[in-house]
Amino acid sequence: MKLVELLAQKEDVLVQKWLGLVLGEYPADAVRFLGKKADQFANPLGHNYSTGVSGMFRSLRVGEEFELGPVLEQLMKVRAVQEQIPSKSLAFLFGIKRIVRHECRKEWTAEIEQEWPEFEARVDGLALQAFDLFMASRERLFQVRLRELQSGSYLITDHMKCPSAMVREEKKRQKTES
Amino acid sequence: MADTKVGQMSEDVVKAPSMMTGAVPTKDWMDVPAVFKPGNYCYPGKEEMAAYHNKNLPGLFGESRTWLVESDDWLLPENWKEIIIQGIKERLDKFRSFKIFMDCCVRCGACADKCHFFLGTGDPKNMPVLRAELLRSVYRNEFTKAGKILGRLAGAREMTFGVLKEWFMYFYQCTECRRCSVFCPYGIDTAEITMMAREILHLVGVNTNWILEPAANSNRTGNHLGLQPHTFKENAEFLLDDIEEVTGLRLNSLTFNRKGAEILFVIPSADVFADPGIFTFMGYLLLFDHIGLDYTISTYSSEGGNFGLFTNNELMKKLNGKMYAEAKRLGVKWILGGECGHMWRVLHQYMDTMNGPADFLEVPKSPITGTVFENAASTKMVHISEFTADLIKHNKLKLDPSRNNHRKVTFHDSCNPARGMGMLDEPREVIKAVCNNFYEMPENTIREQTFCCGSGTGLNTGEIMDLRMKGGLPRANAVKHVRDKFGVNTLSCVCAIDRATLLALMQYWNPDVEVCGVSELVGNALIMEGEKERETGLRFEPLEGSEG
Repeated sequence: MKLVELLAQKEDVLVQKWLGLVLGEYPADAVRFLGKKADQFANPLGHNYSTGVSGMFRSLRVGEEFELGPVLEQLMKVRAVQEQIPSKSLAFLFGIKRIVRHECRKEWTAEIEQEWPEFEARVDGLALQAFDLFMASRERLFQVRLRELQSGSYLITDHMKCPSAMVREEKKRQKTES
Repeated sequence: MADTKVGQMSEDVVKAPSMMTGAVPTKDWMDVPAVFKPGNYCYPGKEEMAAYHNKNLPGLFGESRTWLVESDDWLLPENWKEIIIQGIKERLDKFRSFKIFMDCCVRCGACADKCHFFLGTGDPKNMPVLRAELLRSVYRNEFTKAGKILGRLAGAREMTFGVLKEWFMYFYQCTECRRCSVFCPYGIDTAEITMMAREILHLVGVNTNWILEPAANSNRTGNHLGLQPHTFKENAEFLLDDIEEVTGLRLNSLTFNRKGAEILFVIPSADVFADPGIFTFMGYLLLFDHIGLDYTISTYSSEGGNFGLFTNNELMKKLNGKMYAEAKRLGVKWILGGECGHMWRVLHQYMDTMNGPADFLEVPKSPITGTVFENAASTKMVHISEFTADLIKHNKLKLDPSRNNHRKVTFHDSCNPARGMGMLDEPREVIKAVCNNFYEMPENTIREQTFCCGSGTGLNTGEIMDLRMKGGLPRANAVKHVRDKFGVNTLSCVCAIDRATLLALMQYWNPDVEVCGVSELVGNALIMEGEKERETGLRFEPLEGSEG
């Protein structure tokens, strides 16, 4: 059997294990809920993880036939605000290598071993793509905060200074300079 | 950025229990400490702000000092535990609801997965039941026999510094939106538990600046931005210039502090200053001019938003009282309120007990349609959406909804007007009359089940942007759905904090969706007498057919 066939055959269990890996970062009480296949609006975090992970797996399995971009971007937006350092946020991506080897150990053949480096390279490629999107999300978050400051919304979010105070300060500064 | 050790990292990746086995940490919640790090807490109150509040309301805001959240010494008074226990006791005696909420929860879990902060962070302590347990456990220890005898077995625990840290973390990861209360079979209002916890934290000076400073400004100058009357007036008048540019009309119906006006109009002050609230304000002015309303705006009571609600009931009462004092001074008949959030919560749920009934005012009656707003018989205050919906129902407005054709609109029910005062249909009636493209978000994310913007009750500060994005995920996720399905590009709402915070939320999660107030859409659609042909909307965006 070829690796791609094996991956198709075991898709459900592999996706579940991969999903379990990332959900495993959350406390036990939350995992029970996040893992539920509830309505996506009742469980948005679980839904985003499950859509993201199954999308990534599909893309590893079928390559460019599956349009991963928007799905991966959404997943990385979620990961980018989990208050973790980037390495910790993205580590689970590499976990799929061990999961596949472990779950498919009984079916492992010399032929699959030969195909393996290519699969690993695909995972690495996916991780790099994810890293770009993760960093883009962080960048976007900073832009959002910056825009909030620039647009005037900061007046009701960060509460800096009112315009009249700024005018007073400006006048004071000009007076001092002259 | 943390110093990442490569060796440690690879070890974690391979050996960490969750990575290999999917095993999860299984500690009891009482044994998981709250850890503060940059980005997960609001900055503490400035010393002078706490001092200011203490001068006005002695004893309620603790000792003023400069303290750091990440430090292990919060410079608390020596007897801080006594102050807290005494604070709980006083409130149990004073507020019957608090006592009932402490006792009657059976931990059925109906609320557990209803909080947007839990749904967005996955942190069990954000399950409303568990958040309440943070306080309830101390209550049991001090005030119930079972707790005193059985201790932890009965879910009781002592008040410690660790518990205090937990309170500060999780009672400031609750926006008092009350979604969980909708699902509680006992009707426990978890928001009121958060309100009590915050009051108690204030007693020992554990506070956030974003709440203390706006509350101080509201008390001193009348609005949370600290704008003085002339600045407030000038800025409002700048917007008349913008209206003139869009419509060709110079409105002259806007007045300030005018005695003898029929109606006092109170807005959230952000509507005069911040994008996109200013466009909502322009909408109000066009509407009032269109119907010839006799109204005035006060520079003394220039803030609808009641920041006292986020501190304690005494300050909430005082700030709410300002609106009524001003209504009395000006001799108006009744009060009309703008698109504000917590102003309405305070008004609808607490005003009558605190400052009501406002017998010196008349029961609001629309001078245009003659409708008497019996729902406001005691508070004498009507919401702009109720007022506008009534005008529309009586065909009193000339409207061209096609001027909003460039917008595909959905409506976010702001928590306070929706769950706090039960206003669900009026804004929708208004939107449907002034827009041709309106799409609802999924049923379990709107009306009484609406998801909070994730940044209410003083959490809309920049230093917790990550947290805001997580808390707002359930709302953003529903918006994404209608954007993908119907091409929605406009998220409308009737709350100033929403207008500011949904903007940030959309820029992160759904960058092509804009945020607006409902009255902005009204202003776009209103056919004003003598106006020029409109080529743009109120924010100078080209209308459909006039692009390029």
